[in-house]
Amino acid sequence: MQVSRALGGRSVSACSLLPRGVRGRLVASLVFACAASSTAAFASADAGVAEADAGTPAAEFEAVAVDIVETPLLGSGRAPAAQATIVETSRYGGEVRSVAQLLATSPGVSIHTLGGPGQAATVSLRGATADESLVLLDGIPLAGPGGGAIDLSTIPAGLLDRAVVSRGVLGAQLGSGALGGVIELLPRGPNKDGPHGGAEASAGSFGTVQLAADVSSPLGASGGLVGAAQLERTGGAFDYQRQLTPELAGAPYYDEVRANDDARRAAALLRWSTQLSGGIEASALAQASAGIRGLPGPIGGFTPHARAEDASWVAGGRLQGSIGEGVWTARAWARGSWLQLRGLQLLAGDCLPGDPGCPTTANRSLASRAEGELRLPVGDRQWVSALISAGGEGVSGAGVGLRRRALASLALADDVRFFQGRLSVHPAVRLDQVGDATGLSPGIAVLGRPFDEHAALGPLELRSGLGWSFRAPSLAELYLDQGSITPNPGLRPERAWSLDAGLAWRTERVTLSLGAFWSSYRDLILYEQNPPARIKAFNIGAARIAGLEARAVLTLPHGLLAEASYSYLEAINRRASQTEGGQTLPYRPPHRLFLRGAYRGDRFEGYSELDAISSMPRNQFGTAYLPARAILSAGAGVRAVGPLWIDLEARNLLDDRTQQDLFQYPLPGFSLAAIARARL
Amino acid sequence: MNVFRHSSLPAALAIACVLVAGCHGSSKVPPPLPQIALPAGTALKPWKAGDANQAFPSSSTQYGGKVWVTLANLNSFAPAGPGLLVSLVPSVGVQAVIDLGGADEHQCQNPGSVRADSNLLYVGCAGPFAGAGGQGVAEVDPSGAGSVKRFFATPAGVIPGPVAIAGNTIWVGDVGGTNVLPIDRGTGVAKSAVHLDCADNAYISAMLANGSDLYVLCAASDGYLFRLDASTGALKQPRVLVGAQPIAIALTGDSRLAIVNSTSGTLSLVTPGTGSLTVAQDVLKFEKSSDLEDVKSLDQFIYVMSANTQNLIKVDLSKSPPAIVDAVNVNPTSATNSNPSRVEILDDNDALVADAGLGVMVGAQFGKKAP
Repeated sequence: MQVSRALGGRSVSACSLLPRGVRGRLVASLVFACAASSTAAFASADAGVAEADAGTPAAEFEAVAVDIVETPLLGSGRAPAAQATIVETSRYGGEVRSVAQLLATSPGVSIHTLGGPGQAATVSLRGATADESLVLLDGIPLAGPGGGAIDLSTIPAGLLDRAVVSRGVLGAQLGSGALGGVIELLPRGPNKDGPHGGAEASAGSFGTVQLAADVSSPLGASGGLVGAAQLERTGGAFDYQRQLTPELAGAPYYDEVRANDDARRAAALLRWSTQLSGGIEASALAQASAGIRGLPGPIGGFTPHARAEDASWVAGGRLQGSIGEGVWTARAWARGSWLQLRGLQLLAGDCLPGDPGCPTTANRSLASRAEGELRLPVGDRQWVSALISAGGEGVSGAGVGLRRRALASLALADDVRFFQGRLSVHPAVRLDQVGDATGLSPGIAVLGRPFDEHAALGPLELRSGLGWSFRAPSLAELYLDQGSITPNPGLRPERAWSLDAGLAWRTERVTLSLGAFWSSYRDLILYEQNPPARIKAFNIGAARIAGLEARAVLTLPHGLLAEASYSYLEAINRRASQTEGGQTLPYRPPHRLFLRGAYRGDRFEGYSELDAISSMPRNQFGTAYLPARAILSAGAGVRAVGPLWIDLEARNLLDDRTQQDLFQYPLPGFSLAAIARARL
Repeated sequence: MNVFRHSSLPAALAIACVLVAGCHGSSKVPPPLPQIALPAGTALKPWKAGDANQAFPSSSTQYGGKVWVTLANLNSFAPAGPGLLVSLVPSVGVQAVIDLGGADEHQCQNPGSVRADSNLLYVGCAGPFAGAGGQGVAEVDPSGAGSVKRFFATPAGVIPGPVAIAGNTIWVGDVGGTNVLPIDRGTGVAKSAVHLDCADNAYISAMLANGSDLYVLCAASDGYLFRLDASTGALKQPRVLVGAQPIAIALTGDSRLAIVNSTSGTLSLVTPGTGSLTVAQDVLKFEKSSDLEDVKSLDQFIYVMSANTQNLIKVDLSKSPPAIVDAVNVNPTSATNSNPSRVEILDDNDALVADAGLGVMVGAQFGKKAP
């Protein structure tokens, strides 16, 4: 985005993306775009809760080639040949990790945060924006109260079993918005083989405390139930350093303490499944999350009185049965979110709640959808599936009024195997209607294991995909009329296509994967100045984004595990502009490296890891950069008694307090946490 | 002895001034007050009783030993009272407040530009943006307590922003589009606007009259400098690209044009020649700053205001390439909603900055250690 604003002949500041004069609005719109979502889904009734063990095969860290199955597939399962990474939360037992921090272990992922624990975080896949990457919970697309990107901080990691990061343009499989890829969050599932449960408590720096517990039990002869809850809070008052005159080489740093950075959140999950008569399987899920936090503002634009409260929920159910040789599924879900802001003037910034001109604003979003899917065998090597879906979504609140639109989809997919299953081809096409926007998303993926599994080259796997899809403008982009923002109901969908190819080597103890992709985006929605004194979204952006993704996971003897992820990104602005065209897109680090070594024994455990990103542009003109940064963390623990583990974790061991993320939000320095956990 | 100088002073005057002791800082002016409060509350004459208007200082110039500051007088970023013009002495404080609103207090709204010429001040009044009224140019007699001498209402289609004076013509830039409007200073009659072929969603951000030239900055992602005939408005040569969102222009001591680009955070230097404009685009990148708002010139230095870091940055143009030699933070207490935008240079080491967000003028002194 790029804007500037003129008021009576003078321009009022324009920061790298938005005018400083409207920083309050920036904060608000980020929060508005990202905030409160919920998570939930149903489905996948076989997802068990499993504690990590040292013997987990390395292959489980990458999405294993999916054989053709008769069960209708949900979420990432609909893109079986996509480049994907599985992130199991149990792998990080004894560590305090947010969903964003879990996802950051995968290649192709960039996380953007607005500060420390509890603050807004969004995810970018393969250089796409957060709006251009879908986040699902077992197939349900999540969104913020404005219909835009989900704030990952509203989803406690304690409710999740694992995440699957599928990369590429996957609109043919998953619909509008899957341009950079799809992140599917899989919640803990019911266990049918006996009662299980776990609990975890942690306390650490900045007054950060987390409590999480889950319990799972069989229910009836064939059912299961799981409940999970998480409470978390942080005082957020971390030390950081800033320069008053960063323009001067060697300018001194001054110690500061982050203010109005506290956050509290509570979340719960309930999931149930059972077998009904006639072989019909039923499952249901409900999840809710609520939080309150300060919005501290960027360095120099502090907002000490700005507060946000959010709440969100998701509920859904699924029935599945057979018809002849085929399988049918019926699903329905609904989700809602609410966000309230106080102490924030949308143009001026901070204000004192209760003062004239300092209103409390609230926004809500609601969406629901029902869908039916039929999957039929064609011969013994092919399955064809058809999906029909309909629903609606709406937003209401400050600046948008009440806006609603209908959603409908038709999709066809084919999975066919050749050469004794060594080659599988997955063509798919999907037609989505999102309000007034219609989009056709074709795609095809090919997965091959050219050699016999017992041959020397048996572990070699090749895959390639081609996809073309779109992202419909969000309701906020279409209708938000707030502060200096002019709505643009004439916005068209963004469009993109991508081609990727990769190879992998999978054995029980080694997984190596290497992939490359090339993608092209057009009609990107960017905020541009709209004289006088306003900004407005236009379809004026274009980009070419290419990259490499590599990952290695080695399961070593004696409970040792080593993993590495590397991402290279070349994101080039192709806007028809002399100042922007050809420049690297901002906030996309060209290089990102994640290294981790872990030991998991019967009595002791420990890990150390490095998360490093290269310098990256912080504006679209290539004239300003964020410095490279590296965060080194480590932890160790002991099984104190029975199933009780006690761990100590240290993050940012180098205690670099000068790091910043988006829009000059400081990041915390060294922190400590003590964690106690047990699982029965 | 005029120790207050503005970057738009002709180069000849600047050179002459250098010859006079005191003009180049060897005889310092009294330092500015650390902070000068601007009118607030009822002094802003809100149209609606009880409204808590913001002064919103938006433009400044120097004339007659004083700094003159326009107050947009807004509430929720819409005009909520008459446009005001304040005179102040940096070392003393506010001297007078001139009401530009006329008899009905609505004549001049949202003033955003002030220029001095021929013992008069000219203020561009933008009006409410959305809607008509309160748009035009106020001609102010600064003598005594100051008074509005004439008001030239501008025709619809042009939202008055920057103002430049060239001979008998008042040039008004359009902040709602890419027109520049000439007004005959004698009759007050507006002539046909000159449309500049710039870019989509562009506006006129700044203008500078120098001799027979009128320089016009057109702000957009691809921002251009136009050189017009100051008498006729005729385009003298093709536009030149100067950067992203060029926001302010100043005539340097060596007769170049210093242009700051707001969103790309860069300085471009333009060397005017006979029939040519040679651009050194982005010759200095303020890599740790952004939101550049203003540039002023004195001797071999230019001074750049960054609203992002809230720093006034001193750049030495005698070095090749130009180099940052000093910076001073104008909001060391981290007051919330600070938005420093316009700057007046008092001498080599002293300046006065208008903080639109806080509604105050801030004295800035180089060479002082940060707290």
